[in-house]
Amino acid sequence: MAGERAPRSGPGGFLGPVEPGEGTWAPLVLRPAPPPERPPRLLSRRQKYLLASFLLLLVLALTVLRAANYPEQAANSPPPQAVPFPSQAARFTYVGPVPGGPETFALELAVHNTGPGPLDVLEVRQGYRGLTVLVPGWLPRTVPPGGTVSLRVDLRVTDCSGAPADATFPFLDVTLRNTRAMETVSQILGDSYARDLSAALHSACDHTDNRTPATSTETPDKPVR
Amino acid sequence: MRKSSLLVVTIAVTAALTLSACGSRGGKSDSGADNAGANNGNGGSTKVVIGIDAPISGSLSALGLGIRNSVELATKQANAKNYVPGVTFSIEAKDDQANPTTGKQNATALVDSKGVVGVVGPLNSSVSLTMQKVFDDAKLAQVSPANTSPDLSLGPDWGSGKFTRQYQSYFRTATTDVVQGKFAAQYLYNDAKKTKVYVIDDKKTYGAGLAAIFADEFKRLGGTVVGTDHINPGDKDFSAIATKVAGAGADSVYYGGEYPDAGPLSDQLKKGGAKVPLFGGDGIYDPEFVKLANGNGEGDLATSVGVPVEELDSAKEFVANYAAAGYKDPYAAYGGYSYDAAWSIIEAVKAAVEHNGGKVPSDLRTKVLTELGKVKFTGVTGPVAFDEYGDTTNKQLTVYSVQSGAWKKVKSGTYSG
Repeated sequence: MAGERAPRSGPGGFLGPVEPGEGTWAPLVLRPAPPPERPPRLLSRRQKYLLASFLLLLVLALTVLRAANYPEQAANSPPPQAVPFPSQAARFTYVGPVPGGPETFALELAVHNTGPGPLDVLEVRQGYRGLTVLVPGWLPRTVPPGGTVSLRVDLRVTDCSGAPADATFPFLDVTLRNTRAMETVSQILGDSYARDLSAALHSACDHTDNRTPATSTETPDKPVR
Repeated sequence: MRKSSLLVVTIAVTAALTLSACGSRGGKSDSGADNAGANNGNGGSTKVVIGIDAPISGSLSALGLGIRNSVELATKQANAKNYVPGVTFSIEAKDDQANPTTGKQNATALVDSKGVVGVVGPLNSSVSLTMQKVFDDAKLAQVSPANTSPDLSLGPDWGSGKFTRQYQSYFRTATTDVVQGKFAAQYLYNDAKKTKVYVIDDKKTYGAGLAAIFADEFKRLGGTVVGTDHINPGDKDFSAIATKVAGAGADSVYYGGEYPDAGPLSDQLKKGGAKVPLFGGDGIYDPEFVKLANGNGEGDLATSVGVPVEELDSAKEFVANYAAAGYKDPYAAYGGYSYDAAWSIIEAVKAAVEHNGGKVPSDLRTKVLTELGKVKFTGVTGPVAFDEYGDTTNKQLTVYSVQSGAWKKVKSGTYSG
């Protein structure tokens, strides 16, 4: 019976692959490309930690030094340039009357912003039941830091019985807003405003029945926001 | 390794920013640190006294002690800063017990005290009326932090528009009842929508004057004064008035007077059936009013000078310093105004010394009086200056209401006329 013969090794046979010797073999692995050569390190890990500690101590020392030199600033809560409350940043001036329509008293109001940030005028109102307020143009109006904005305010008589002509202390309620707060502040504009408003109300209402509306009460205050 | 590199970069950047910030701020502070530091070695040699007159004892002592302490704090601050080189400030406090006669005696004593160059006080307008002439004759400056009667600066005919300054020596840091009474009337009629008010006063200069100003404006607005009455300061039984108020159909009561009487009045009004808000001026704006109203002050109203301290950045340092000084009694309603009144005298002393070649002039009293009308600075209560009548140019006020047993701000107003 013919069978496969085992290959012969040794002289006279074919040469097979060279086998590693006993204890010298290793599995075949795909070797990645050798990494690029790194530049030599400037600081060792230990040196870096030392530097970090030094800088941290420096920051701490400077902070302590600053607090010691300026204790009042360190203790006080508001920063030096804190934005004041709107009521403390705004200055109002009654400039005077301006031509208005029938049964309307129109005035110019200057709003000055003394604060370091912008100030918005959101709304202008007043308390008399027989008057409505209209600010032609638009609201809110922004007053830049250090700047002045002029507003025209129209007071329209809607009911003479609710528009006292002889009051000596009328004021406007102005709603203001800045980055710190929103506030409504009564602006008492003084004797000139009181006189001019009084004259306008006498003019609008004296020739009519004092208890009869001078005009329709249906005109609402203009939405201002 | 990557983490440690990041740490190093972060710290380095932080350090650089810190150095930069320190540098710029340091420069600014150095230039703005006034000359106090430069003169620290120049110890004060001339003792200058600021007199104080206030009700330090008695029923109004809560307000009077706040005045005294705040003036003392101002002198301490000025000394600590060496604000006027060559000058050390101190105080001499007199107790008037809210009594005009005692006030006049105190004025004479302060005039006779040679070191006194200016006086802060008094609280009460009625007391001031007896002191003004004494101070004016001696050319001694008087700055009240709390007087609100317009007569004191504008004269008795101010109501008819005739303003006459009564005494050149009189100044005040509080705004007047002209603003306060009329603002109250506008608030009650227009905002609170009350139309029928019963007006009561204590017959004193402040109370009667304030009530009259309020009532006049309230009527001009179209409101009705349904009744008027007077009480005597110190009265305890207000039941008869309560009955009258309840029967008059009033929807509100306006009271011109001070909290020792206003508190019990409010209490007895409600108990007597007049369950309407009591409205008063700065004389009732004190926590004592709420206590004395015995739980019946809820919803009551008061106007007071200025705006709440928490709205004034300029007041924060004062509040902190007052707390640090350890005073037992609060600075109360007029603390900030008292500090500013004292500081206006300090500013006047500083100007007098500067205009005399850096030396304290021999006629310092007269010089202080001359300089006082020209002072201008940012104080605890805002910009401080005086007009041609000696009145403050800073006219702000606030309406407060008793809510949950404490005064709470309702609305502020600013007079810019």
